[in-house]
Amino acid sequence: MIAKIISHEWLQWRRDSRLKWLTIFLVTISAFALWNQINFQSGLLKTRVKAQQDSRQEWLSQELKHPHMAAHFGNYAYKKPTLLHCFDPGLTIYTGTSVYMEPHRQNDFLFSQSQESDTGIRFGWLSPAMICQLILPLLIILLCFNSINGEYEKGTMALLIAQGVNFRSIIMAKTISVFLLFQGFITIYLLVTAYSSSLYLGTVLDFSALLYIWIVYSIYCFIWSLLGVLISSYIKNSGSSIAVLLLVWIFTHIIVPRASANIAENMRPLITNQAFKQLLSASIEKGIDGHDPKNERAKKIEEALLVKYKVDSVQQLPFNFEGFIMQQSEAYSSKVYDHHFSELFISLKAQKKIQSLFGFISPYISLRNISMAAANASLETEIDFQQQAENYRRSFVQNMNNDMKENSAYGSFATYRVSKDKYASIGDLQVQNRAMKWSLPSLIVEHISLLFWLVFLMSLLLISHRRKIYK
Amino acid sequence: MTVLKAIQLTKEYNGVAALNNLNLEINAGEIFCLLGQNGAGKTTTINLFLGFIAASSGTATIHNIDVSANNAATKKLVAYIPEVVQLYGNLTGIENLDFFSRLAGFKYSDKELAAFLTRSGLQSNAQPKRLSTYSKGMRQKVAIAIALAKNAAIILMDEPTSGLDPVAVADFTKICKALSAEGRTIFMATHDIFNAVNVGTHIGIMKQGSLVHQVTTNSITANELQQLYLETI
Repeated sequence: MIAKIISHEWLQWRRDSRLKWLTIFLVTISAFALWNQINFQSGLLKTRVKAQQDSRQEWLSQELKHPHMAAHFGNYAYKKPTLLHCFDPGLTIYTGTSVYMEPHRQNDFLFSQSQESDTGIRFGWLSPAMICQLILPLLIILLCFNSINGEYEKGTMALLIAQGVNFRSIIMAKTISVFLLFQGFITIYLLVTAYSSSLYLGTVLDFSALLYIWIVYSIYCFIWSLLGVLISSYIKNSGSSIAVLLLVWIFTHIIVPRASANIAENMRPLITNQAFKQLLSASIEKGIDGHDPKNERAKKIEEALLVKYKVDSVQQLPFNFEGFIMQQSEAYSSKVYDHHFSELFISLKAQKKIQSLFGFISPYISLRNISMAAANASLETEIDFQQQAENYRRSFVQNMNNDMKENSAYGSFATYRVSKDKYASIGDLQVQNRAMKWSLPSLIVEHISLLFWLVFLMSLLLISHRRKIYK
Repeated sequence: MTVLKAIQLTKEYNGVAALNNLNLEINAGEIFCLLGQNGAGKTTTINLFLGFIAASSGTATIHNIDVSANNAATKKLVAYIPEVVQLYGNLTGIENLDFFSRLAGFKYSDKELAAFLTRSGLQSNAQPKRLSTYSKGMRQKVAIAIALAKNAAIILMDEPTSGLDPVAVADFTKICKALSAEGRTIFMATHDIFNAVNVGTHIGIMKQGSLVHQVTTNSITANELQQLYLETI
């Protein structure tokens, strides 16, 4: 019975010129979004590979200098785009995917697309994910706003029921008809995105992430299909049902995401960039608790070393005290960064958690978070990149300081030079993109909220069969 | 043999009776026309026999099967022709018929489908055209073909001649009589007194949810029926 109604729906749509125009619109905008992302991401990849090579070359060819000064030459960490960045660039638009690494400071991300674009980018960037998250629900609405009340208006509902069709079966069949149509689109679009991205980016595809994205977007499509058909069954007039559905779309896609961001920001306000920098600098200078000034820390270290090595002056130490103090200073600043950045990350994650709860009001929020995580462009993956870069920075700087400590004499800052081999021994940071399962623990609320939507709408479906079935 | 039976059938909406203690028996092969003003309870009676709504009290049976207790079984025994027969405008007459037949569990060849449409009076050159090009009378014929294809012994019709031109009404009358001659039972709600006398074998007049009069058409002329109807309402 359901299959017959589905094939009947599709036959009607095939004859409907509106669907042809919708298809042309969808294919055109989807192709453009994909081209736009592939073009950007492949350009980004080329630029980053070249930048990394150039940076490496410059690192290797720099003149022989003091190891600490060489460390100040710095190094760049580049997060290479994954295939699924072409589908969903996520937060990389806002966070940037490069970071400059140098002694004494943990730098922010650089070169984000939003930094280099006008303010329009803050409303989102045209990407395949955006098409699937925002445009598809609109098209689903256009196809199913009159799926049930239209049958009443045509006088066919009574005929359908009189032929022995169950009302619930009609709703289910109408839902599946719309769902399969858009799920087919998502399937093809994801495969085309993965294939064409692999041609241009040449990186390995995370199949589990692709499968996961396909499942989640399919669920999202089903939610909207069922919602559209149910609203069409609850509202008698098709004109009113399209108005209600558009209001639901505006509420879930525009109002709730922005309201949730505002609420999260008010509940867990973030420190401003300027204040954060001042806090870091003050903590390094005066100590994390404000009662441990830098000079006194150095003095204490010196005194402790003299006692430990039973010597009268730092010159008598078996290593270069200047190198040691650099290491200690670096270690302390790392402690400061860990302390303040972890507070910052806790606040960011708390904000995200608050926003995630709004997924129970808007499934779009849940889908968006899951999609970004699967594409390796979520808050968690961006923080992870920053931490990988920071770990590398510390190891790289400590390595150079260690060279100074072990191989140079006290007071030789102006004369000691690192060996050429030392430069070559410092490898580039190879940023590890996380597998999908790495992100799963941070997506529990999102999964529950999507499940909630499914259960909620299926419950409405069960209730709906008791409604009036004649005109 | 009684095929449709209402026993003290009552339907109330918010305490107001739309149908009040209806007792009715319709035998096989009869064409029973139910007359009455809007709100008299004609459509409610049909909806109760179809199982579209639940009775507040009393019983509606089809071939002695209680409609409310076994609606799936009784639906198989009846075909329905609604007042508004728009059907699916971007499908052809054949496609519309095929769809509804399949839903009822019948799979016919194109030739068989065309035969049903021809039998219902739809010309063969119209059959492959889309319904958006059909007149109301032509769509009515497709609805009759749907009823024929369901192979039901009982056909329930709600205002079937509403909005039809005289030629279409005449065609419709002819088809109803042919169906009756085959032994099918027709139960229709209508406002059209003259057509009721012309097509029906039995006539009932309803007023405010009650069946007030029940006559046979061979015992009354159209004028007498009109007089009775006007006096009743």
